[in-house]
Amino acid sequence: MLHYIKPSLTMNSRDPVFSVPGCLRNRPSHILYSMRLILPDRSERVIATATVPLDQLLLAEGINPLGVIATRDGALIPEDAPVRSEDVIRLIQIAHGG
Amino acid sequence: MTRGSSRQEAARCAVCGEPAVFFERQAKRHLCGTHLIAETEQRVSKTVTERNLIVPGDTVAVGVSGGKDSSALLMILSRIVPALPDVRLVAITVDEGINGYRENTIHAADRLVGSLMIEHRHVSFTDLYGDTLDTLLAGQESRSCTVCGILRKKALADAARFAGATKLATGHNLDDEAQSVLMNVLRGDLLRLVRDSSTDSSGRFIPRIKPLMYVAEKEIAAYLLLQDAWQDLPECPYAKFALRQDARTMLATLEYRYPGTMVRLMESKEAIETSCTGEINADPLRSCRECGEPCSGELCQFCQLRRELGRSLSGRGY
Repeated sequence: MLHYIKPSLTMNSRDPVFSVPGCLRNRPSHILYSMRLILPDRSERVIATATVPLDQLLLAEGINPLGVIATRDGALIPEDAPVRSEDVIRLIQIAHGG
Repeated sequence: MTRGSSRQEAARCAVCGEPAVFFERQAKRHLCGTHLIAETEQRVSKTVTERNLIVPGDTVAVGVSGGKDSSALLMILSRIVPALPDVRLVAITVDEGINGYRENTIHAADRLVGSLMIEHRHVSFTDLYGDTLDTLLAGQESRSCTVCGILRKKALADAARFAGATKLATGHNLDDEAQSVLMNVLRGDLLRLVRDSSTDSSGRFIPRIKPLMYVAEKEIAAYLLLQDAWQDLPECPYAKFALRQDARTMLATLEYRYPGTMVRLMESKEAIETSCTGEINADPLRSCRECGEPCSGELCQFCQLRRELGRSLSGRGY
């Protein structure tokens, strides 16, 4: 059981723009994989997905891609980079008050 | 590679063809680390030059909290200032006294400024105003950003003056500036919307400059991460009380849907500034009747705050 605390940069998931994209919603069952998304609060989310652009995955999670930067294996990746099964994507929140 | 060509292949830098690390949404192009760093620094240099933000002979006080924006600002200025004759940088760090937050950023500031071998001055609310922000705000947390903003602005200005500075540079980025434009519109504050504090014909205050005003927050984070200069710091505990937080969420949503929204908002502000020149009846610069500092009304913001808090706000000074 994974506990997921929404970070403050999450967006309104009821907003149609941030609804689950078709590539995730209608994936065939035989290409289900799981990847690890490490959120800014260091909690982890295991997501079953096919290869998909990172920004689409973030939107499906209710996170604005502009509010985070993402790394894979310690290296910065663009917000539209394709992410695959077995990837470990770490998100870093960029907006800090003060 | 542009966004639409292939979503399944790794993107390449639009300049050199190396693997990309960043996608510029407005320009719809990808950049590698080398070209992201170079273009960020070039944009800041262009802003400084075209707007005459720094001129030969200036002593530039840089407000360095240790957070990402001020750290990037100091790093970039330390690289572009050597090309400007007779310009000196002085870093100023203000300790507001925010328990569990500011200690970490001050350590980060100390490390960075030390590595760049720049003169570094520290001031604290306790020394200047007799107490920490945490104590001053007790029971009034909802006003935190207003109170902190006024006190920090004065602390920075006084420290800059004390250091002999002719300019005061802060790390406000494109997102911050666009949020301010939106907030001033929402408040109906036209005077503040068009006020320009980067020049001072009266010679009564140190002009405040914002060299990162056309660099997006996300670019700054990437710029630091690429140079191993990113510090994973905590969020200010008072940030949740700010109207800015709502403006930030709203603008980030719009920027994602309509890339370029923030830049266009800034351009609109500048167009209003230009067309309002001489048309708006701004109050002439006066002197605060209590402390003598320049202000637009009878009292400066600091003296107004002193009255509202019912405290003298006097410490042992520098």
